[in-house]
Amino acid sequence: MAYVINGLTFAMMLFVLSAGLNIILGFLGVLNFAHGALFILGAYVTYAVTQTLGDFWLGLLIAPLVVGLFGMLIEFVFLRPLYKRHHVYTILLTFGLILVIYDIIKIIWGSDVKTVVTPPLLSGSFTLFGEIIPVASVFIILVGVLTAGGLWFIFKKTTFGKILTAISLDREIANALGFNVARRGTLAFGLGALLAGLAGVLGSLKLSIAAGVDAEFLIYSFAIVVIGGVGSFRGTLLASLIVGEMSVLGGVFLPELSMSLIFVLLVVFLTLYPRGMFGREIEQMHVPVVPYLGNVATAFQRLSATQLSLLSSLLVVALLVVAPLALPKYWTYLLAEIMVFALFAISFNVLFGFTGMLSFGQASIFGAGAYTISLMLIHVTGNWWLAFAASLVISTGVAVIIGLMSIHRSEIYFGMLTMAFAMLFYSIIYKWNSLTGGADGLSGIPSPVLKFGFTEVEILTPLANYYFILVVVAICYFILRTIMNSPFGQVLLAIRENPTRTEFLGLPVKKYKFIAFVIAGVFTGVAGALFAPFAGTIDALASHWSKSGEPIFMSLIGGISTLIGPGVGTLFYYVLHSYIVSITEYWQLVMGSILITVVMLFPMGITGYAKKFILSFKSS
Amino acid sequence: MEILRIQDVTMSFGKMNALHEVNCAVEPHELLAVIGPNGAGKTTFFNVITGKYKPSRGQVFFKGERIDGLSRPQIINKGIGRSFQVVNLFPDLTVAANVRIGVLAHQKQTLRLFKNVDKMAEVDQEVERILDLVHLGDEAGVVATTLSHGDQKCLEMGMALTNHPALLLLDEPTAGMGPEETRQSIELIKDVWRKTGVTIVFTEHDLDMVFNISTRVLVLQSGKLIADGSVKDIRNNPRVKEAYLGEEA
Amino acid sequence: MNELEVRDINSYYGKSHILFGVSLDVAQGQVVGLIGRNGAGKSTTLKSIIGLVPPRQGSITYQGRNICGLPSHRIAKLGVGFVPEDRRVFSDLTVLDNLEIMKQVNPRGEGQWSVERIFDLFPKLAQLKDNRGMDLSGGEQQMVTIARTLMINPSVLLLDEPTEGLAPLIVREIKRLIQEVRKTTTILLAEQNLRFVLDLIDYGYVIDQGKVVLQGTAAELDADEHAKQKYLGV
Repeated sequence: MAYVINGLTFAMMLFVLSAGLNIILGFLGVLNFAHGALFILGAYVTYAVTQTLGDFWLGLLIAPLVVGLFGMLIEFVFLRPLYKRHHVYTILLTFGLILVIYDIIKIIWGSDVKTVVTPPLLSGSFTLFGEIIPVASVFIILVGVLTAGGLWFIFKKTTFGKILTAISLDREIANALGFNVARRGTLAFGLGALLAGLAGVLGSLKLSIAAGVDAEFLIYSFAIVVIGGVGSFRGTLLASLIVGEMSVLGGVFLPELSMSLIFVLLVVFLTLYPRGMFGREIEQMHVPVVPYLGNVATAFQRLSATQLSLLSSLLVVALLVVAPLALPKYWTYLLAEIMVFALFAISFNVLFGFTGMLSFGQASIFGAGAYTISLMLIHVTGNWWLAFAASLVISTGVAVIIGLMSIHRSEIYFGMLTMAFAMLFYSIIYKWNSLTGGADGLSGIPSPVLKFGFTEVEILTPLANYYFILVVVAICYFILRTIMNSPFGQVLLAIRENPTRTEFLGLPVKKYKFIAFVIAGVFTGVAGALFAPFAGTIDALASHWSKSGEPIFMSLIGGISTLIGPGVGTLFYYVLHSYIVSITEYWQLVMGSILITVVMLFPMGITGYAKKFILSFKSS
Repeated sequence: MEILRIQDVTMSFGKMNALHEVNCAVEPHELLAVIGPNGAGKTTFFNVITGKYKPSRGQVFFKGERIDGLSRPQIINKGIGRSFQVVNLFPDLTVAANVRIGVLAHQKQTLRLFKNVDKMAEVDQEVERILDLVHLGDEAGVVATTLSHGDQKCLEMGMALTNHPALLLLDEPTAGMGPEETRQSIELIKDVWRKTGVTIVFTEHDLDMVFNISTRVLVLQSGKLIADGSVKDIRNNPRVKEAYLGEEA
Repeated sequence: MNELEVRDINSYYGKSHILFGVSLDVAQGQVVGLIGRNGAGKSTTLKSIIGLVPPRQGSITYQGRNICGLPSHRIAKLGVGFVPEDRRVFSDLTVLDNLEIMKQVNPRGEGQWSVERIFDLFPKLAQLKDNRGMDLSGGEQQMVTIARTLMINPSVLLLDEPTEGLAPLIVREIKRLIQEVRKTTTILLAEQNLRFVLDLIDYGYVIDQGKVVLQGTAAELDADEHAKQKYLGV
């Protein structure tokens, strides 16, 4: 009984949070990754108000308002200019906002954990049918129920809510009938953010407040919106109850599996109800991922222009061969790591920039490759070939599973699903202590031994490692380059440009997307398999979904429209990152701001603008 | 044997019938026009054939084989080509690359991962043949978006021809064209029809064009097939006049 | 005075040039027809006026004020009512809600249209008031879209093919509604159905391939057999 009450309490927090996420997704088509960050911001504001004014109840009033207004500001300044573009740009923007918000929190409140003093009225507990029930839980449940009632009232009974519904059904006509659609979009985002803030207030009663604890909430609310359906509060409420109860009861009775259970549920629901229990499809205009940039850009989009010529590619490899002679040891080491992550980013971008699919699940595949090769080297064999082969099989298998589960859904759902699977994978790695070492991970991974016929080479020194990685990455790059030059690569470009038309040429789009996902997965797995023995350790964080953000960042900075772009972006990212970390502890703020700036103002990235410059130079 | 048969097809959206018990058949090598006022159901007619919608009732047969309920690529691969009313291309690829994707699909080359697409002579020949057929031979290297509207429509038709269709569906091939472009477009359709022997079904708002080139005309109104006959029959059909000029007040 | 003056507008959908210098005048209190076949440019003209497809060149004056370049919702608030083709009711809202939300656009309720008056005139809609938009027939949806726009009490109404795809009985009903509206409101009516508009309009423009090719009173247009053949088919 007490567990059921706990589950209900958790469910109601999740409901308030997910309802906000759902409003933002349903009315604006924006998948708000910063929703968790807004939630934790709400908790911090509650903390601040309780501390300074000494009254939690004022916090309950002020925090949602502050977060709501902050949300409106975000929508007005950052999101509004992006609606014309492919929806991944709004996702990336909210991704950048997470970093910024975390550091703003750190600047204001420091990085130690905070707790809110529960007001006297809510502290203590009472006994009901022999069970001890905390008053705070009852309060949270009450607020959840009132929120549900309030939302029902707003959307079913008030003109404001009905107008929002009308706008979400037909923006163009609503605009032509005299409704200021843009302004109401800001209000809708504000309402969604307000709910995130309110959830934060509730959370502050139960949680230790620290940036990062919101991640779990964000993932749960993604699952809830997918299960309940976009645009349906009824669905959100029901799904919140299911997820909340399952996670608490599961945590008690099946602690290792509690999170996995949620995702099993997610898979079952998606198979039974592809649009969620009560949802509708999100209307999406098809806009290609790669932005149009005038006449020069059109010439640039031709296939040949997406790649370095064979000669320049070989030149880059030659440069990398001689680089260790000129570089200090530390940089040789760093450059090896950069090459591994360049491969990760380039194979990610085969999906993103070349096929138009934004996946947040790549870290899982990377992690699968890294963990498998580590376990093989530690427990089974020192032979690199065997360990590598096993690692490829497992990481490809993970890619096949995520691909099969996610590929059938339209683009925003695809992002949410890959994200959910990434989190599931993370929780398995994290919880499966006996095999993976849990949070501590695996260390002391032995150096791999390469066997060629009768000779054996042990990859021991950093320099040996460098050249080993260079050879493997270069081979992978040339294979990917060949694939992107093939008829199959042409089909991927066609899907990016116009999936409907591709189907009308007799090509089943989903099949090709799936193959692309698996190919990208194979090379991501290779990157993982290279990384672990090189670093000597691997921990659960390597497969955390936020790691999937890195290749996105790298691709975007380097340029998503060229094959080499993400590689250039990786180099740039590392140099920039190490510089920023050396000058400020608030590196997330700086990196987040750079990501936001790139998304808003320079979406073509370094190689994109370089190509543009060269082409306009050639044509003049 | 007839190439296409639409049997008792009804397509409803909610309470509205976009098509209502439509019956018709298309014989090989016809150049058949489907006309009717706005909202009569012409585009729905095409969408039902090419699998965008599964009819609420009734069946669609292509060469005697039932195709309603199949997926879009399956239907296309049976030998149906389609062009669109609103230009629907790969905007940032060149004219040749646009056609090439269709050719690759038809020649079943699209799963080849390690073949350089620029070094496939047979594919290039076929692309060239199709571009010549739709009079775009000189524009092969041009990026599709920079073509004139009329040329984009030609490219549409070229792409619809890449799978050597037995049946070609053209949705409003002259929509949004000036008089000169319209004339050229008509010539092109006739030309393709003569040269390839393909059966063409097209929807059209320009009745001059319809009466000029079609071998037979179907008239839709409010989702119902109200007339089916030769150009002469249709011109003098009182129900058709009424549909276009309005009922007697 | 002319309620609406359209001067030499050129409009595009993306890169396609659709309107080539269209000009027309709508005098206060008149019903003006914009007649042409599918794809002639009727809808684009209306969408240009309401600002959904802002013209790249030319000017549009409403009650002496240039409205070219204003956002659609501002133009609507000034009193230009737009009734789209293809009906497009808010499918998830009830008939009553479709009408009620429009009070926001005209908060003072100025003018003579109200839910009560609309229900008086169309008892059918009153019966259906709690049905959702998606559960209505095509004709009922068309009535709702017209009534919805009337709720802002427009001084000029842009009607885009109100009879499109509708059965004759419903066409008659729609006509009755327009007859009622014209008593108080200026109307620009786009239609391909010439006979339908002849006894409604004071003046008409025939549009073909994005240009105005002919204009005149209803009688003049009807008498021009050559033009009927050439521009309106059959």
